[in-house]
Amino acid sequence: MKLHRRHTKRGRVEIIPMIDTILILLIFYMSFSQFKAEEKRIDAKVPGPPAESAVRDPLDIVLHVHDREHIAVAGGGVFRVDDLAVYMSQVAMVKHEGSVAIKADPDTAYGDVVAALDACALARFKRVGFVPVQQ
Amino acid sequence: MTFSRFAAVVREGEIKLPKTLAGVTVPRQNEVVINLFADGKVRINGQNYAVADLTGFLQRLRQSDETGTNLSVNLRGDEKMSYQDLSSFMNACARADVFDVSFATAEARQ
Repeated sequence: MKLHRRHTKRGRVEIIPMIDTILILLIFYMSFSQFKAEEKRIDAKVPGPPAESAVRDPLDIVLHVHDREHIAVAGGGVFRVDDLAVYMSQVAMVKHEGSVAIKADPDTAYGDVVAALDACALARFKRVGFVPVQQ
Repeated sequence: MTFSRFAAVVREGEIKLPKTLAGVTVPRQNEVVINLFADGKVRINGQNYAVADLTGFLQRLRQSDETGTNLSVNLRGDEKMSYQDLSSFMNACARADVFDVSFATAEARQ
């Protein structure tokens, strides 16, 4: 009697379905991944008409931004931007309804000014405005 | 969808936004986005403007709006632009009676 050897099917990697799957995954991740950090927004006050802006609230906290390392708080000292967030949080506990006026030198970088604004927003000050540069 | 994302990156890549921890991502209605470059150039919807023209532009926008809702402005300013430019921008908004201003920032990683 002739015995037939049983042929076992050897497993192999199917290349074409694998390429299809990789392509579909690639398209999926390209579509839904974020290439850039999400954009946020911080609200601030625009100085009102001259008559209104001339009258300053006595509770105003005035910040003078020279740069990121030197932010002067009227009556409070000079802070780095990281320390300012801590200081403003402490102030917010006392003057939670107070408003903040930010001023800066004409050539101060906008990024440094926004860093000060960020510190105020983190301390949950809702009324933050900018003092215009004197012409 | 894929390509529109790439287009958005190209548009936004020109301005380097300041990074902040605070801020919200919720968009507002009736908002005009104003791009302010480090060299003081202003671009709105792909068109170049001078800062001096901003007041007139915003006034025209307010007058043409029939919905009656307050116009709000979102400033996408380059982190290297000067406070002088920011001050001029704020003055232009104030002259146009637009007081609802927000500042676009990039999310800072903690």
